[in-house]
Amino acid sequence: MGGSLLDEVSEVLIHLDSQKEIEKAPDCVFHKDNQEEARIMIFESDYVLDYSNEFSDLLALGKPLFASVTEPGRQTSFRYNPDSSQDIVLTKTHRGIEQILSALP
Amino acid sequence: MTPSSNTAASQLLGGSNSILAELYSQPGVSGCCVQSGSTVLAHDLPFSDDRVDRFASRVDHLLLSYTGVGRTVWHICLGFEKFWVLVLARDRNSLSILLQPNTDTTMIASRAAHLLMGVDIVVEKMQPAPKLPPASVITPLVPSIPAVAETPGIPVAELEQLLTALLSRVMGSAQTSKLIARELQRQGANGVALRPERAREMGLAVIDFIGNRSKRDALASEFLNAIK
Repeated sequence: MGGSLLDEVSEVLIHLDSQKEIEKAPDCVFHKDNQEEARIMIFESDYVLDYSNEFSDLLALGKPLFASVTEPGRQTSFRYNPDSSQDIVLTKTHRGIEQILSALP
Repeated sequence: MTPSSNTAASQLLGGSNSILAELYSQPGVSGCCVQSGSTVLAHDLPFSDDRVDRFASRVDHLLLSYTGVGRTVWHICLGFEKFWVLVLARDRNSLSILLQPNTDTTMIASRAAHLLMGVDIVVEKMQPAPKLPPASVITPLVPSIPAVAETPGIPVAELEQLLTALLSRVMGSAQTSKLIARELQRQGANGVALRPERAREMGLAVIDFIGNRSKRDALASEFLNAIK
């Protein structure tokens, strides 16, 4: 992944409504060069949620609440809200999940 | 904790000196599953092996979906109502840790990443030493010269002469010469000598042009006897 969003900013917050439509996001997400990466993140949020639901079924874990994927120089976190909306947080620096969740509105 | 009863489990989960013993000293750790690819090496999750196998398979699939697009995942933290799951990946080995909610995942991930290196070593040791096949079936690294090459080759001229003698009995000599020359050329008989099996193949290919089946079989038999 090119990481072009993180070339411009150190943190990106995207809020999706229950229909997976962007409800709130910084301007950089809508830049032509970044749209593909934003689309992948939105897709990834649902993709990881699907796996989370599978894991929950297998291990009786309860409803998925969040996920955080840590890679070199990049951390993508997803919060799955009770109203089916989702928050996506992309950061350069690696943070604890508590820190990420507490920073969300 | 009921570690799986296999060698890997005893090395990974069993005893106070096990690789994962340090992990269990961390607060909030409720269980774990160590896997290499989709194969579970050891687990102490309170589920059947079959269910844990399916879990491991899905974990592997999730990790592969990242690596498949060139993304190297260090760890994935999944939060659920009842438990959190921290999945650490290193090459094809991964360690999934079941955590109590609100556990300090940063600390656990740091310790577990170190432990996963230990898992690498255990997995490496577990790889069975390659079994040597019986001496009779060992294939030498340097290919030996085929035995047939040790036998004297059959000169192409000699093959032509033999075929001409045989085919002239049932065909006109001009037709025979053309047929033999054309077929030998088509089959690449350019060398001075041919290996016997190659000479046999070529000769039979020429004899195959004889339309009459009984004559063809008789000449083929005579040819094979002559070429030995």
